[in-house]
Amino acid sequence: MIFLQRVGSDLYSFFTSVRLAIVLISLIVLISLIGMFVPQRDWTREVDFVSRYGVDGYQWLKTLQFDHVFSSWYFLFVITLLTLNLLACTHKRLAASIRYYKLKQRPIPPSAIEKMEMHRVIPIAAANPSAVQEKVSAILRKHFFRVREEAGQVLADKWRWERFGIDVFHVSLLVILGAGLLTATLTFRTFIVGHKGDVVKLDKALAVRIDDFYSENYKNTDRVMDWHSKLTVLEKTQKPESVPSYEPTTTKVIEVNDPLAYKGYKFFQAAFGQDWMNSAEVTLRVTRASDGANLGEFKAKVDDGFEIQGEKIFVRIEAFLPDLDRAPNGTFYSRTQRLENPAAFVTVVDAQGNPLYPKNCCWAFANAAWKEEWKSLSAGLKLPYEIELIGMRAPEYTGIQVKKDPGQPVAYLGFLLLVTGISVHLFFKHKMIWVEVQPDRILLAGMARNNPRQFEEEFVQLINEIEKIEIEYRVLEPVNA
Amino acid sequence: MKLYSVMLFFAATLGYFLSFLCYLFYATFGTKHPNNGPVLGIVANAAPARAGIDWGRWATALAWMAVALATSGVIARAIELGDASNWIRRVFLPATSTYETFTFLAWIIPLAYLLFERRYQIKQVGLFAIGIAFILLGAAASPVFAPSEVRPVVPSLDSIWLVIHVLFMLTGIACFTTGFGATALFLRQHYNKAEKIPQARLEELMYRCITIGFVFYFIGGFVFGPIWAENAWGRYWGFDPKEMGMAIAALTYAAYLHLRIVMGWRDVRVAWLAAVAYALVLFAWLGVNYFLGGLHSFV
Repeated sequence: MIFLQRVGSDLYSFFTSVRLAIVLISLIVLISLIGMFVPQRDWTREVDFVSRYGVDGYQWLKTLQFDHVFSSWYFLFVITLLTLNLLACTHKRLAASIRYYKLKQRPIPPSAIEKMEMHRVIPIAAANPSAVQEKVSAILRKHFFRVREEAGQVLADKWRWERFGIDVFHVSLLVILGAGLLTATLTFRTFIVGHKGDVVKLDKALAVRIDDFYSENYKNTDRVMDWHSKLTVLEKTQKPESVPSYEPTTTKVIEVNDPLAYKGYKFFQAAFGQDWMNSAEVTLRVTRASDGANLGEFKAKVDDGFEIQGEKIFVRIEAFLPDLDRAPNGTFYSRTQRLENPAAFVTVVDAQGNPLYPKNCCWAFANAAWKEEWKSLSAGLKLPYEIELIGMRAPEYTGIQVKKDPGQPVAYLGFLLLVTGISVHLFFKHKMIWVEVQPDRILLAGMARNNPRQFEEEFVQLINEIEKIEIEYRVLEPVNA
Repeated sequence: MKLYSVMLFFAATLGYFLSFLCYLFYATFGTKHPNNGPVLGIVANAAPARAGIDWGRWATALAWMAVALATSGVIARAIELGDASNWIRRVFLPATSTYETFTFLAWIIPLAYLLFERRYQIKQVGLFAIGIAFILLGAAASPVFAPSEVRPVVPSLDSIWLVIHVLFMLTGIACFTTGFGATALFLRQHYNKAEKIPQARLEELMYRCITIGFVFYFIGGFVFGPIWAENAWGRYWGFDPKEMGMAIAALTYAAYLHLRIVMGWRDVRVAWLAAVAYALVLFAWLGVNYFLGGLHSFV
């Protein structure tokens, strides 16, 4: 037991040290710098990594987890330590705040009052000092001080609880970290590439229908003002006697910065454009290589194809990339989602289903330069057909991000606590005043926790008010401290 | 197109330049400074009692005038921005392009400085704060680097949180800038071993600026930023370079505050830490957009 206690107290003093906090903060700064300068895999594709760092460099990045530092074991480890550090420090500081709150203001001997940094001596000639004391107390109460008397001294203070401000702030950080943990582990997230009329099921009881979507420009310009999607949430009816069916419950036109929220789900306008990658329809011109005969133009969607009767072949569109580029390691990829260098990947099979083209072949281009390059590249393959890309179409789509995050209320609680804690710390300071009324003078001293300057103006004002009491006594002459 | 804001900012540029010259004369010739002493005497507004031209007073007066011009410039810009956006947006904070951000900071940095000056009366710091404002407006005058053309607000910036989040961040940066002025002076005096201004007072100014700046920067970045990000992108925190830049700078200032308050450090070590933190703020504000990109690259 004694051993465990010793371990416990050692751990406590280890985690309550500010030095530890500084070391951990430095580590987080260091790791974050890596994460800032090295692109992260969440928004960077492998091909981009390889083209930037080379194959070996990319391997190293992966080994060191630099491509996802913010979910690397060492970052999570440091964050965990910092959380423990914060937890321990919060406990330690909170205990100190409670002790401070329970402390009682004690009288100070007059000689000590005169030595305090913020003090004033007001000479008076009072017949009845206790009446003056009453007046002074009344003034202090008017300024929201809690006033009491002890050993003939007026002791007044206010806002003693403000020391908890920083505690609340530290607690709020823990709450926000907790919310982050909840969000990271429990959030349901999906992305809808939506076309008009699509219905997407979210769970057993809810579905969402995309009624419409459109983009709007600023008047007389081609600048986009906003993208809108009209969504209807459908909910399964609960009536036991009837057959369950989805009924519309709520409809909203969402736009960027204005999501729809329903039963914990949130729907965000996240993207808008033409769905090249998934639903492009391409037009291909096929020419026989042996005699250059034009076999015609054919239309087909991705994942589908067309038959050329006379030749007994079937051409299949495997993929369509709107902006083809080639990575240093030879793979082809789409640089962007814009239609800049469109290319279709096609395969050709004969009537028996045997491929007529070698594996990983072949591309159909629209861009003249790439067409030429492809011709020279494929010259050795002796392909029986020449296929060109001459037209393409894709339906517009709206990108809706759907999210259900149980951490959200916790996060907002954290935000509220954070702002409250900081505001308390900023606008309130525990202020204490000692007043001793003697027959010939009033001795005053004031103190504010941490920042005496915040008390200065009020202290001067209090003195002015006290100097104005002229019923029971007369101010002889003001004496500067 | 004739823009009133551009003309107002030109006038403000001239004002800052003249004010800067006066601060320079003050720093060079005005050796006396009001020694406020401990508490009670601190709200002294008395100018240094010395013969000849009181450059410090001129500097402050000109700075206020230039700030007034910049204020009207910012207001004019907000109206122009609203006009360009067909007035269909809620509130406009003219901080949606490089030009607007620079001119906005050239308004808020001197304003923050002047408010600190009223209390602390260390006018040598003004040399830095007003100088920065002048440089910002000078950079904004370049049509290549910061075209002054008004562009309507893009969809992602159409939010009340643009006003709240950006205002808090920029106010934080403005306070940090004044703080850095004090830090630089502190370090300069430390290494030159010439104490024209008591180091303790400079240190206090630095600490106060950083505390106030930290409050704005921290709340703007860790509360209002996430709330907006959640509303717009569907997540609070995405480890975007801008977010991390801000977090790093804020954490460094947090380290500074803990060393200053808990450990009681008030010497050249924390001054260096404050200088590093300010460099990180600048990197998070400008460096990220120019070198790293990410979701926050609107310019």
